[in-house]
Amino acid sequence: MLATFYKILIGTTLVGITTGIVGCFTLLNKQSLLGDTIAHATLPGLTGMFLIILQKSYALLLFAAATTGLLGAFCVHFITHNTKLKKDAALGIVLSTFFGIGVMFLTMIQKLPTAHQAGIDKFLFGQAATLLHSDIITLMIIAGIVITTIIALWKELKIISFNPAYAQAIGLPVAKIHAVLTCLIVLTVIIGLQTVGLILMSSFLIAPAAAARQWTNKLQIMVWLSVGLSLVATTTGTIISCNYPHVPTGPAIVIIATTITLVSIIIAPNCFVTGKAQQL
Amino acid sequence: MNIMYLQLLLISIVTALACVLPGNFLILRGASLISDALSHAILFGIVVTFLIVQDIHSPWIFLGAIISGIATITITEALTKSGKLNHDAAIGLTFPFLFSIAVILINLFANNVHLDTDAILVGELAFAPFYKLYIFGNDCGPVALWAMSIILCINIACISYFYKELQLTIFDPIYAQTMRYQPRLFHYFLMILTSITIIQAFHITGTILVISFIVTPAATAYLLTTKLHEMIILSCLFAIITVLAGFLIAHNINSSIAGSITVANGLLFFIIILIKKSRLTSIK
Repeated sequence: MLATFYKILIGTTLVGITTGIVGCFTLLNKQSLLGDTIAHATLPGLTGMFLIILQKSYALLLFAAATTGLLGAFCVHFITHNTKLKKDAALGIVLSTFFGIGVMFLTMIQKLPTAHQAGIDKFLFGQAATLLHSDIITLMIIAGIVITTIIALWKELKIISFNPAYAQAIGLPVAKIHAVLTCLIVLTVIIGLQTVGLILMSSFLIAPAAAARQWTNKLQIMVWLSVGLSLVATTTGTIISCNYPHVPTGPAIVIIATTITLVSIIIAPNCFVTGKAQQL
Repeated sequence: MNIMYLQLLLISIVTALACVLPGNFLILRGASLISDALSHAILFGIVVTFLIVQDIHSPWIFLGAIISGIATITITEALTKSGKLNHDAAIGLTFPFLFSIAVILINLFANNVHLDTDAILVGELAFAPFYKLYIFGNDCGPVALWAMSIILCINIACISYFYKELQLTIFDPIYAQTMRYQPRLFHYFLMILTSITIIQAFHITGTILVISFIVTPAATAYLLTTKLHEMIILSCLFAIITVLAGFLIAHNINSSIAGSITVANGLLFFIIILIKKSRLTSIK
């Protein structure tokens, strides 16, 4: 029992760290809902790959998920830049269409005679207890790639998030770095897939970063704070979920994280965020 | 082609039309993802009301769902207006929170009931013809068809009656305000219409695919015209076409109907983009 708990804890911790970091940059770049769309876009990759290979080879499934997730992000970019549709419509179209393809594959899987198909739908809400030792190693490697990339590109990401026009003026490859950020979002979503599921991924990317933003306007502090708050939420959520078997891990963490964010918004001093209130 | 199949088809067409009408206005307002938020929040309303009244077919559930839809919009607006969070982040924060509470409540208290998470996500269109409406013991057809038709009529009526106001507040909110038409009021009105539609549609399409019904045909129509009434007519036409196409797909590969319609929506959108791009390059 304890081994299972530690497995789940490692899984959710990895999710917490990566979403805490990457979420800061998506929040600052105003791309919060892109994570949600990418998460939903991974479903056709998971279910489609399973239809092809008919076994739960973790690495292949995740690779397919990453591919369709990236494809979804590319479609959003294409629609936004090549048609008069705005980003919200592009996100909605890609999210629902890709998810619809995934659902079609899922119903095809459910009609198969093999017994192995139980578990593909666990990617919707996550089930960290079924992680194998090798799976955890894979997730750690992916998390390592995310963290290393962020550290390597820290200065560029910082300028681009706060002042993209200046960044372009001094010759930084803004578009390429946005593409890298999108890839990092995809990798982060992949880590979250089996531990907390894809439905709730948007909250993981938004809540800790939003909470941290209320307390500081320095990027480095924001990222550390975001990771810290994220880990508080993931650890508490995991402990609660393991002690009360009917409480699934993903939702538990989301509730705690969102509460932390709401409390932060209410009690944090006003000096750090002076956004203009939007008018209708 | 038996009668049940025809009923399914009819339900789907009525649902698609009911969804696409508010969808046009949502796209123009830039609020497409509110439909995502609403559909998750409505689940929350349904679950909480169900736990109170303990009857899945109770009319209170409808009321509870609308209230939770309005609550979501209000919370999101409040968060955005405070200036502390931008609009996207506010949406992405609120609906998973409510959805998570709903999922935990289902797992804790309603595990053996009709609220199966799979069905919620993908709907159970295939079972709709089995729930029939009996008036004085006569089989008047599926409940879903009646309910959705009523909602379609409500949508048509509301949008026709308030057509000018909706048009004004969406395209020129500042001028509308000087003419004393509050954009805020019509924003909420549109959200309530959308919520009502989603509440009924989601039994049929599930939480996530309803977004496709609402957003995609309208978006496809938006690509082809700049006139609002043309856009609405085109989107209705596209909705009907993709329902038929979806049925063909689902029938031939034996797959989820709502999923197939969604994919058909996406394919039509993609085809229209390709046509537009090829026209643009050939003009050179």
